[in-house]
Amino acid sequence: MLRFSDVTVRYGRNGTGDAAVRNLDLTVEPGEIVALVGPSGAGKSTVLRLAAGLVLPTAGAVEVLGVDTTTLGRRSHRSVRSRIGSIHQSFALVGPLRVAQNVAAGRLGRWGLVTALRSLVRPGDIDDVRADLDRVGIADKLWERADRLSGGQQQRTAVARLLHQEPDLILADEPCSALDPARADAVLAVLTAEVRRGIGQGSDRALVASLHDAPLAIRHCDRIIGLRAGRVDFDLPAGQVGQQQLGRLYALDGAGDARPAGAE
Amino acid sequence: MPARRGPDDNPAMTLDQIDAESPPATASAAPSRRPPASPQRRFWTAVALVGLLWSAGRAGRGPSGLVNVDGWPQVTRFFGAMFAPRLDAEFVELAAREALVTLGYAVLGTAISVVIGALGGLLVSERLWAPLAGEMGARRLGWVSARFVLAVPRSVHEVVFGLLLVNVLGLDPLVAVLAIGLPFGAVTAKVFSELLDEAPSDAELALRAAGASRLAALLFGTVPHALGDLISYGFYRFECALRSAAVLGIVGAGGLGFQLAQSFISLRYDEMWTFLWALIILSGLADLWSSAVRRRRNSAAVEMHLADDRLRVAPRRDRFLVASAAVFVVATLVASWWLSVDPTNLWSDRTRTLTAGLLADSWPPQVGRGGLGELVADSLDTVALAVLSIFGAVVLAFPLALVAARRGQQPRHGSPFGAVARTGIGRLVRFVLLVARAVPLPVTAFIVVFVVFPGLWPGAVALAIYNAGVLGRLAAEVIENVDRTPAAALRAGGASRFGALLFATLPAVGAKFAALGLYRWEVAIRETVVVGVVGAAGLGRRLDEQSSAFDYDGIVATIIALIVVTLLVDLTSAAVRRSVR
Repeated sequence: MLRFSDVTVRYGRNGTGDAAVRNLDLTVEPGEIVALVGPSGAGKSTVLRLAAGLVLPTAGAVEVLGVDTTTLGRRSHRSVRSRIGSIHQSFALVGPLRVAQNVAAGRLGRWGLVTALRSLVRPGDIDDVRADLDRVGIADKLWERADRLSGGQQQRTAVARLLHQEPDLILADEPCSALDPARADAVLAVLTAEVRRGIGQGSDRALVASLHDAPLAIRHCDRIIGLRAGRVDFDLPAGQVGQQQLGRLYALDGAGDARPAGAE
Repeated sequence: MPARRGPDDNPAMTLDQIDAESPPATASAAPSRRPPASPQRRFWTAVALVGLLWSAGRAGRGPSGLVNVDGWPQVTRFFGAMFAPRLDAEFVELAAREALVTLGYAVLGTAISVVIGALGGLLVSERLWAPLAGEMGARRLGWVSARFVLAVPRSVHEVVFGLLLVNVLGLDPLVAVLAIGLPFGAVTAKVFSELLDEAPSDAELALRAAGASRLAALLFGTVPHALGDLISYGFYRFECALRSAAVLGIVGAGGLGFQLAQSFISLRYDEMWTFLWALIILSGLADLWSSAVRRRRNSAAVEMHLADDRLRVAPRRDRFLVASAAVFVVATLVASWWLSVDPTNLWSDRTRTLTAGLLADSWPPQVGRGGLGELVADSLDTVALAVLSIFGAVVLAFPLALVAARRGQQPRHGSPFGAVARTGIGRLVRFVLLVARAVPLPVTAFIVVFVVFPGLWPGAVALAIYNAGVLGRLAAEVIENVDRTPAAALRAGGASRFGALLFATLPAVGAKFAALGLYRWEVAIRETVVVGVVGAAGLGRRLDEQSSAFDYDGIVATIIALIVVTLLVDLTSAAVRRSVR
């Protein structure tokens, strides 16, 4: 589903800056629910952006859904992009559009231009939109303008857009950072349920989420990967991650903790 | 009122204690002399002064001086008729009908420019062409050529478009509509593309990452952010289109401008003023509508390089904007019926034959009589004309703008009589500015020619008066939008009105006024064509002579010179703005 082979990323002009990710090897199989934890600057966001094909490796190779990400920009691979769902800490909603259109836009990758234009007036799959909003608990906001919603409601709209997209691989970059603890639990519950729902039904899905809140990660995810200074510090099933690993991960002593510019 | 912190709060505090709290003076030893202004600022100020002197020298003094006193009675007769226009029923009906024609040109021209602007803006926005990681970025060439194609119509004045189109389409309302719509469309496209490029990008990026095509992601993710601004900018264009429609009428397109020219030829000043009043009323209403729409989101500020986040953010759905747009759509339909516009004329056999003939006549361009030297001299005259007129306009407009700006509810100081007087003076100045811009530029130029001997000067004076009308209004808008709390604080502290102006308002608007002046300088280069058509000077006069001689390959050479001058002025202006920002 996702395979990193000896990946290094340097930001800055011509890739001369500090490495945000160094010689990373990582594989995620269908059905897995993976959390990336680690201090800021550890490279969590970079890993997710690599997986989405928004950043290309300076060295090494990233393969997502069987396709090398350097080729994702090709028109023929837009269908692969539409199988990757991303959610960010900035909700990336279109403020002046209504919630219905924002959610419907999740399927923009599968529509032709005519369908897209028609959906700006009224989405054709409005019943699905309503159902997806219902799953995040704000079906009543269907026709509200996105910039009129509260922060929590915007976050749930972004989750609904992701559900509407029905992606095989969900990449979540700090999906809960703007939420209170109860809402954070709820959002992760929806995302992981979406993955677990597909397991064993032929449409195996996977979730990779970066979370700065390690206990939250342990509660919801099956596999925890600790990142530190662009390298894998530990990679363990959630049940085996304890104070020992986390203490070392977040320790403030390491010289390798220097924050690479632009990594987050 | 927020709690103020400071030494004042503690009357027991002595001067010594205050001193003790501030760091020792030697620690941050600032030089007692004011450091000089930045080198760029000094450089451009020097360039501006040299440019002004050079332009004045180029305009020179005619053999018989500048001012022709003998023409003065004509001017007094003209203004004497201002409050005695011809008002019999038949004539007023004519004026009303012609006013609707002019209005129709403006409405349809604006509609076309918004359509061109929307499509062209999408096409030239950097967003559309920006590659996602791993995409081929080789379409840069497409972006550059699209930009260039739009830059050309932007540098050519509506009147020039009118002169060319009338050869192809004959006496068809489409001439005026397209003459307005094409150049305005190119400007609108540039502004729209900048609005798109400045809109938040995260949503669009997220949609692209989820597999949406470039165009779909742009339409869904970014266009909704910029659409309201595009519509509000359309209203600014409408206000400009109305003035343009009047000028096009004078060069033969019909409507109020045409009637105005007829009455002028027979020196019927009373008739002229009937039409001028119609223009003033139309123009005043259009300006009011436009500024009411733009008060919420001032997208025209993008074009004038005054963009201000405070003005641009308008998250609420704007019912007034939507209603205004709906009214405008209806007006477009009514206008195309009223003017009986027939777009099929655009591709009729006759049009095709005439276009082919015009192209054959106009290629290759010929510099013609006087050679390249004279073309360059005329180009320099055009630059001098624009420089002189903008200095004049700035000197006239900015002080008037300070008086004209509506300052809203202010605490009343002094006698109520003073407040009433100030409101009255403000209204009067706003009216004078309205007349200055509503009277079509060629009419102003002809009146000025009564009292100023021919050459560069009458053109410069006419352009200065007209641009003062436009600039004064824009500058007043800037003042109205400026943050008033500093001025109010100074006034509360006992400063005089003048002191607050000097220390709070002027520093806040200074840079914006400079940007406005530069913006108008770019526009004035284009407008020199209009005063040239009345025989003033520069490339405009050349164009006028060539078009009466049907010298089409000469016209093309002049237009190319005009485009080059416009692009050079735009580049200079952009460089100044970058360095004084």
